[in-house]
Amino acid sequence: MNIPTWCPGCGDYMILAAIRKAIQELKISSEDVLIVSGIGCGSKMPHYVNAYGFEGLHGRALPVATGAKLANNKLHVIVISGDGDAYGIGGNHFLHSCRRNINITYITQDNSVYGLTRGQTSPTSPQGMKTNSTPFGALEQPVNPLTLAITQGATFVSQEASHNIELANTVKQAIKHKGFSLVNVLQLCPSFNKHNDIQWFNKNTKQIKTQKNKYKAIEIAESSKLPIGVLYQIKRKTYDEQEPQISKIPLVKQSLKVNINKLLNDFI
Amino acid sequence: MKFNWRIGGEAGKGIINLGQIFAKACLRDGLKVFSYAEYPSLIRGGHNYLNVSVSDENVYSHSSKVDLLLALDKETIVKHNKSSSAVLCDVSLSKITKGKCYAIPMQEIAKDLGNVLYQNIVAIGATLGLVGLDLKQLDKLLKETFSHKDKNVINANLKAAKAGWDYAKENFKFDIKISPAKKEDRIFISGNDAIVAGAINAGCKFISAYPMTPATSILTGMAKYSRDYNIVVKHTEDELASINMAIGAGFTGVRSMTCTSGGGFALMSEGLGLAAQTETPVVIAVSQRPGPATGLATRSGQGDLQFALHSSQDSFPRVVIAPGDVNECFYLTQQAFNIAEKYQIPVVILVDKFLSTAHSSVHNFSMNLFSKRIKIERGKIATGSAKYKRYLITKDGISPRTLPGTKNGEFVASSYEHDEHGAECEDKENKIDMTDKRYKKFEVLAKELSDPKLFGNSNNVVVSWGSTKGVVRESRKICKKDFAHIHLSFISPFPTKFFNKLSKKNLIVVEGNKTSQLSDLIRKETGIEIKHKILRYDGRPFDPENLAKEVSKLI
Repeated sequence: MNIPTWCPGCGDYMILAAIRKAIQELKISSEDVLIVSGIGCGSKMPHYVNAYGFEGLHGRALPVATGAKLANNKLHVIVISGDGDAYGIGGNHFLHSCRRNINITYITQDNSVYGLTRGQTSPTSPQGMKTNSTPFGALEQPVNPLTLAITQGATFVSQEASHNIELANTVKQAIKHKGFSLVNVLQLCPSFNKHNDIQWFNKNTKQIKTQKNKYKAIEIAESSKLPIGVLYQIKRKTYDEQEPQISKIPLVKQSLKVNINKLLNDFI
Repeated sequence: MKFNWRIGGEAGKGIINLGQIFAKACLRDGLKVFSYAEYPSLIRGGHNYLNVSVSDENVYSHSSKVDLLLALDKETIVKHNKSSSAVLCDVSLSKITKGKCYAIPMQEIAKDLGNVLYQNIVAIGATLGLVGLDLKQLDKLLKETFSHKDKNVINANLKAAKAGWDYAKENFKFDIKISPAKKEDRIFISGNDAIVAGAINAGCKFISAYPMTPATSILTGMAKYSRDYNIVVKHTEDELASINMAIGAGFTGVRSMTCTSGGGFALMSEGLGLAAQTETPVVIAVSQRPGPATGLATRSGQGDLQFALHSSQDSFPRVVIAPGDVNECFYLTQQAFNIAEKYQIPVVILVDKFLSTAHSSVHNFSMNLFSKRIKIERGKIATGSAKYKRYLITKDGISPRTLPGTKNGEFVASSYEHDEHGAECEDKENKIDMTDKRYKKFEVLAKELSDPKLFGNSNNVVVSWGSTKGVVRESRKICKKDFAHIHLSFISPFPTKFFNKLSKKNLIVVEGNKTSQLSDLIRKETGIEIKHKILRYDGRPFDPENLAKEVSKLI
């Protein structure tokens, strides 16, 4: 297996450990796991987990994962994206995956900065944050991933800090959840976001309880302290459950031989 | 015997569907039929028309000649009277026609039956009456078409058809007579529907796409049959999602495809490279329309040849297939899926609005002998082992792939350059090996393909690709001078060896774009400089009569 290429102190090490631990504790065979990522420091994750992997294009992890899940709904599909990947270039896929409620687990590595391109502003950078692409401070207000996920229909919305021991447990719950589950991981980036260190996280986060009420959950998501824990979880039919074509046998196991006479009769 | 009919009227009034009912009635009377519609990019208002050519011999395209124009509004007469030998219209419009006119009180008859809308059916009945076909097939079709409607509606439609037919019989004489022919097992199908049939027959189980004219009916066609054939159809949020979902499904082991037009294909460019880099099978049906940007959304053109060949960064092999008619749409789509999986490569099926939407009568695919020739070939699929390498360098460049779920077959498909295991690798030797490996597959594929077909034997050779095939075939029938015809269905890999043999011939390229993109390709592949080019880029397909004239000038 490959050796991770992340900076010392990077939150990705803890996220990797959490994913490995969650898969192990859930006793899922490695061949039944597919880890899909886009591009970014943390998107190299598939290379470090003993499972099938797909490291695709920047911003396009969710569609690849959705296609794979619909093709073989027996697979456990885990998607990993940075904040730029998830909420910037891939933002459209994120909101549609939420409303689709496709049964995949989405782990986002949210460090409010672009790492692989070396320190530019990201969709979750706070207003005023100075980076090399915004030397005079970012002008936009940041995306709130939790509010976005809840309002767009995600059925499991959680947030963890990369250095929090509970991370593996939350990932485990997210994998077990039937539907689109988000684990937004507030991540340390000691190289490009020195401001958000462990002390900062400890001061600016608070542990919260799981809500079933959308509006209460949004209220917590919008409060001044960043919520930590499973914020919102509800039951709703998943996209894959609603497709009778795959309710019994995954697509990939179905015979390719068909009789097209029924179709051709429409053209006589 | 050949009869060219044109029906025209206001967009949104069901003119095209109505014309297709007439075409199908002819089909069911054992005749050969070709139909093609022109319509604007709007839903109500504007001008629509449909050409239907009916013959007892094979008919490969529409015609610029109109034997009978069925005009359902004033604009149709203004636009098409000149090119038509005769006009069939309501009495209220007859004053503005020039030349032969068959005026029928269609509106009055329709009103007597309870709804002015029945005038369209009166007109179809009258057309059949004029050419001497009976109402048996039309009646059946009307009953099928309106089967979900009230009995009274069906009866009124049948009465309308009869009234029109009777009126024509009693009052008019028409030169062209059509008689029913021996019935064969034929279907009347468009290019897009033939692609749908081909994909389903090839075992395609997944399509993710975003609507874009003229490719939309591939998506909606697959959706229509999704429950019958267990296909997952995903109308995605955008074309970026379409191509990436199709790649995700292809990677997982399902035969998958997407469809779009030029604008959507532009958005898919990066995904095309992803399929090539990860060696994931995927089929992309691209139906061209004129550009740039939104261009002419509902018109036809062949301006995306070089785009299909070159889209996405750097060089990598991709297959580009350009079917020339509905038969090729059916068979080559099946071949596309085989090639995609055997060679783990993206395959583009390049059609255009003309081929996508024009309907032809062809032998039923279920009966056709050729259908048995295409067997499903899935290529090298591995079982997995401790030593398994996904991107193993092999003689033919093809590495056995494992599908997720296979024990000991785990690997990462990476968009980064990677080594034999799939791990990211920036070594220069590896980069060369992997690039060469991907091209090696392409060389092997090129050897597998058969040469293009040469129709006729002459020093003058017309070269066409894609949808122009049928028009060239028709123009060969009517051109006063003899010429041969080569049709290219495979654009990439290009049949270089075959083409080199033609260097001494008087080559004439016919294609639907401004700069003759095929000539550029031929020069690049063979060094042959083609001087004679017949180009059309007004958003309309060629027609046989004008093409024959143009060709004869160059012979």
